[in-house]
Amino acid sequence: MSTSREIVCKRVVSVDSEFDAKKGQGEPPGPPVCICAIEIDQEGRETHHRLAAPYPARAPWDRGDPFLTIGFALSAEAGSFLHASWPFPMPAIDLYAEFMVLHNTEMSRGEDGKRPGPTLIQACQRYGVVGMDKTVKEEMRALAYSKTNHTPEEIALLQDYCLNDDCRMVVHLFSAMLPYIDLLRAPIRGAFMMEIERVRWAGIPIDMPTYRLAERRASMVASKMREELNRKLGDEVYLAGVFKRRTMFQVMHRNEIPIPIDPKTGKLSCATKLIKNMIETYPPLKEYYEDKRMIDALKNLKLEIGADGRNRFWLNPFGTKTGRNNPSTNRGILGLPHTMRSFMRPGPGMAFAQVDYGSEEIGIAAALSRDPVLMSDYREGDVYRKFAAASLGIIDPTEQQRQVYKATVLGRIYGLGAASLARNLGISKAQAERIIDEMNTRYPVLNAWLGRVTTKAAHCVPIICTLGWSLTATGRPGEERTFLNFPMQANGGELMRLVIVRAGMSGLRLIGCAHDSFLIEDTIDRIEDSVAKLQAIMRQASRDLLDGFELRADCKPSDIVRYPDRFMDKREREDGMRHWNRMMALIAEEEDGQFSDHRQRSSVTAPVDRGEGEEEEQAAFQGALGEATRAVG
Amino acid sequence: MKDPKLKVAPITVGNPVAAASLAIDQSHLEEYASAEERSSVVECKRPPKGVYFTVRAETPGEPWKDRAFYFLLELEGRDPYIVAPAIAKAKEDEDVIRPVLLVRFVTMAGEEGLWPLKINRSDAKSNPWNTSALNILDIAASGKWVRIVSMRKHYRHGESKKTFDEVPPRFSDRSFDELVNISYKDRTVTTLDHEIWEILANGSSK
Repeated sequence: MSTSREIVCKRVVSVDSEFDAKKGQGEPPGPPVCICAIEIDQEGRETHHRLAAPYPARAPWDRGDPFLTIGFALSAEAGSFLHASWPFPMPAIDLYAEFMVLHNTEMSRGEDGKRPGPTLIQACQRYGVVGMDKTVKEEMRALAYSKTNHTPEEIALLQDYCLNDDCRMVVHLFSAMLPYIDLLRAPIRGAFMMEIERVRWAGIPIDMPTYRLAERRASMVASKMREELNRKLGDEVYLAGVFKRRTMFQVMHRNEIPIPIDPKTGKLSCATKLIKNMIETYPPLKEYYEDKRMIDALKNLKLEIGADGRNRFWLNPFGTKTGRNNPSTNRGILGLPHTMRSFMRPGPGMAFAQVDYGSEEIGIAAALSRDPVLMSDYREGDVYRKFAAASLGIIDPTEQQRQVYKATVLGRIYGLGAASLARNLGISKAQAERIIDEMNTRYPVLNAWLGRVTTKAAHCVPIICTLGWSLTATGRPGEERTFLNFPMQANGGELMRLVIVRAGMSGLRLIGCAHDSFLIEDTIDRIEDSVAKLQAIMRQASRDLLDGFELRADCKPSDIVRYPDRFMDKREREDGMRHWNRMMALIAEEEDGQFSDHRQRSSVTAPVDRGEGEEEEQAAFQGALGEATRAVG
Repeated sequence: MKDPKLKVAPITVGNPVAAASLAIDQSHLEEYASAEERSSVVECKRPPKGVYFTVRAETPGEPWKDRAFYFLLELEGRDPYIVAPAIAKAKEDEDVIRPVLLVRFVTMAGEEGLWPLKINRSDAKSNPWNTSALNILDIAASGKWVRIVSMRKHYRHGESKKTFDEVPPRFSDRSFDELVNISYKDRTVTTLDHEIWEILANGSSK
């Protein structure tokens, strides 16, 4: 393919397909019942394509010369292309992605977070495009989903609908949105929308026997964990299974732990997302934080796992105001607390690795602000250790000292004031002010830049990122923190999209991504090469988007997991797999209890038949506990 | 539905392979306060409701730098005209001409405009709308971001918690006269043979 900056397309092809999406089942989408397209040439002449299985080796409109593919939520069509063994078309513009870009500000104005993305009908309504019948759409969907052996008449009916409704509406919507679309960068988002389907299709391998045991015992294990947490905190923060916020406030009060204020509501809160920054300072909070997250996750353990034991879930691209993905926290394994991600385990002969951008936000802040000291500190390695050492006048600061300076640097780019920093770190406000002053002295260019970003946002001027994602302030009070952090988060989102596109084009098998990290899978003998290739792509992407500044792409040997090992999150590994092993032990107690009860009851009735599946789960579970313990020594 | 032919091709789009050359330079984050982006349109109307704006205070040694009295001729369905004082005096029987105070304002987003404030007639009871608008002008001139709220009989205002230190006003370097000239280009009445007098006298089909 040409590497020139722009591509002149003499044809536009609106493509759509009908298939069973198998929503919520953890399966790849079903094969397409039909793939249809409206091809429009330079004279406005149309050629209609109606295809059904068996599909040709390449799309009939793919004749070698450049053409622009348009669609709405192209990740759906990407699944059909994968089934038909067609390459993803390029360039392509996804009107769903463009809608999210164009309307990010208005979609982010709600009190309850960002509104979900639109359906095709909703997008058409927004742009005054009429002609689509919701009832017909639902009927046709039902027909596509209902079975796999469609009759020729049903296929023809679906083709009519696919062509005359969906493809046609996409053409009209494209025409209506065209004046507003950033045509230079839209194809990058279009490519991303298709590549994330490749990622989802691959799925994340799960240790199914262990997971099924956990799922079966989740309710009882959560109940025991609630009791344990009550004991640890010395009060009934869980009463009859219900979390009591006020009791937790009392616990914090007794332990002289300041209670955070939720910036959104202005009320006292002990939500885990607010507590997170305080756990290193206040040990009881660490127990509360980890246990509560596990209890919440166990209460709602619903990973979407296909018959092949792989977790597939909707990544919800552009689902946050920063443009990062916003997947469900209980459908995907990467949404679970890090202590529970050890359900991930490669299959025989396979390996996967987690590669992440090292200190991504602070690296982006260095690149964008061009603060020479911060850039230098980042390049040399650990920014926070360098800052702590310089401020304290010592060579080797302790981990605790590093944490204080880390909290200050991150807090500053998240808009944290001295009072909040003092509360999080358990220091006086005067001490916090002093450390903030030290930071401003060490990184004056960063400080001035942050000030300018805030002021620009306050003027309600759009903050536009490297590939066009943007957000505009509404002028409401309290928005400063969002905008202070926005360039780092949103440019991180742009980087993530570019990495996924390039990894897909390079044939690397990404199986997941979360925030600034990517999961890559390959055979055991090839995994290290694949990791090296992905790291090169990540570094290059950062140089391309950050004016030549390179972010680190970290992957330690321990981040590569080879069969039969299981994934262990770094933090959990450093903590001796304490939470994972505790959860496994509780499951074991439950299993033993059940079988012992069962045996007692059965002794007077019939011999126990645990069944082959349960035997297998038991064996796997014993392994899960043992190997986690061995792995951390 | 029979569609007219849609002309969407040829179309030039970016090449995802060349993403590096498509990256938007982030130095735009630096340019917040430079009022280099000048609007070619300057509207003369009350600041939009719900939008915070401010005005410059009168400088003691330099009065009338960003405000001035003008005679405005307003006709339903037409943009207003500025009428030269001598002509306004000659046409003093026309009730469509009245004196206004034009004041330069800027919104938080950096959009400049001219705010025409009607003046209470000295020979009549004061109008609460006019009085309240002038009060809001004074508050804005005291260094505040304000926004107008319409009540049933007068204007009220809201004040932003944002100070000028947090959000400095971005007045452009254009003079007040330049803004008036842009706003009233081709709509200044300086003679008695201007077409507006014919329209007033005999009407217009335009």
